[in-house]
Amino acid sequence: MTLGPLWLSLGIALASTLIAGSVGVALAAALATRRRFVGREAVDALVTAPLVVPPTVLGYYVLTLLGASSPLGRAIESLFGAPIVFTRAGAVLAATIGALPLVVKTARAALEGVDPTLVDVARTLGARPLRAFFAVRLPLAGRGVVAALTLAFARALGDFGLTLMVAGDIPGRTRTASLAIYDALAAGREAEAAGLVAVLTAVGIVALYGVNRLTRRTVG
Amino acid sequence: MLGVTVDLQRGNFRLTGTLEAPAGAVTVVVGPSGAGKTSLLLAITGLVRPRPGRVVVDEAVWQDEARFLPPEERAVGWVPQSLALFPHLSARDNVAFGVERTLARAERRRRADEALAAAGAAGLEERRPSTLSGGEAQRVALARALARRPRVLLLDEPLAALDRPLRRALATEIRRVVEREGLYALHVTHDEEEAELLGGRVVRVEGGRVLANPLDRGARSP
Repeated sequence: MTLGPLWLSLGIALASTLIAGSVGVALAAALATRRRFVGREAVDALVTAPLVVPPTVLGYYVLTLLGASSPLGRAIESLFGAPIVFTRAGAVLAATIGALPLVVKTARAALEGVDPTLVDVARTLGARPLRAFFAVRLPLAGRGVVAALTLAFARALGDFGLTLMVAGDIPGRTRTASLAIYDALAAGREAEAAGLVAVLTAVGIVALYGVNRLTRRTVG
Repeated sequence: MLGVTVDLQRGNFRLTGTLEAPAGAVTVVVGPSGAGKTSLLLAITGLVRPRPGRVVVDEAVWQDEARFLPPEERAVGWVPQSLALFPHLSARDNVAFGVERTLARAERRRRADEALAAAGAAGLEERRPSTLSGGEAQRVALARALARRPRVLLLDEPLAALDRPLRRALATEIRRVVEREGLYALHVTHDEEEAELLGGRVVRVEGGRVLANPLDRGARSP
């Protein structure tokens, strides 16, 4: 069994957890205000769409939007000297899109669970909105936010359809563990598939266990 | 002089009226629950915005037609009814949260301990809010509001949950601090006995109207 796809998956999952985590928590914070703003539910629906829209459909949209022949795709290519689709960056993008709704949903619920009076008091104690968020609201939602990141990581690690559509299945570049399992099985290399399956299963369980322990200690 | 004029719409509820309060004495705001007492305090903190509204503290304009200071720029110490101590911080860190941020860490800590001691909460510095009794939590919340060195102290039913002897002791302490520091203080309660304990002027809020304010009629405080 080659370890390449595993390390690749791990790197992609970590990168997309980082991106989906920061973007997702920021979005969750924007959505979790008491103040209603125009388009709040529209933003929520857009961000949540990847949960209900088939990966292939999502992938189609991403390709149309960012593909080599699209204006945006050409802009990216001339800006960074490389396209985003069918590259590692594309794989990260795919995993991020899949993970984002889980972060937003989970983090929003956690943030909304924090007593708003605590944030109000922080403001009267001289805290600007940003400090009130980082010093009071976010730490008090910590458990839920860590849970959100765990879900994002697990989702990113296991992404298949969206990655295949947006990043392809290029050995050594975008062939993640999930794709490698499929390829190995399709090619009859059952031992290799079983090995990857075992490792992915173990990583998932260990991550969940560790996070559960961590979150238990943050309370009280 | 603390001067407040509000016209505040919150959902179906509307609060209107004018209030004036002198420095160095507790002004007691009484009225049935749901009358708008808490809304009045919130308008002064800047957490809600009356339209139109006017909040003036001495020469400082916190709100008028032209300006609206956000809560963090108002020298206000607010003790909400639930106290809202930060559960993830020790008593000391709760109090230090509001201390001037430009000061050195050690100095902020010293001020926090000082404020705790002044509120009769010495010895509680390291404790988490969840381990405090009702009276202790009350004192920590008061210390936190005072450590910010506010001009206006806003107390929302701060003594409601306490038994009578403790209530008497804390009421006396609040009165003493307000007199010593020359603060403006509004103390909301629906308990007439508590109003007497604080011995200050009484403003009545009923059905969304701020009523009878002794200062308006030029009356002297009792």
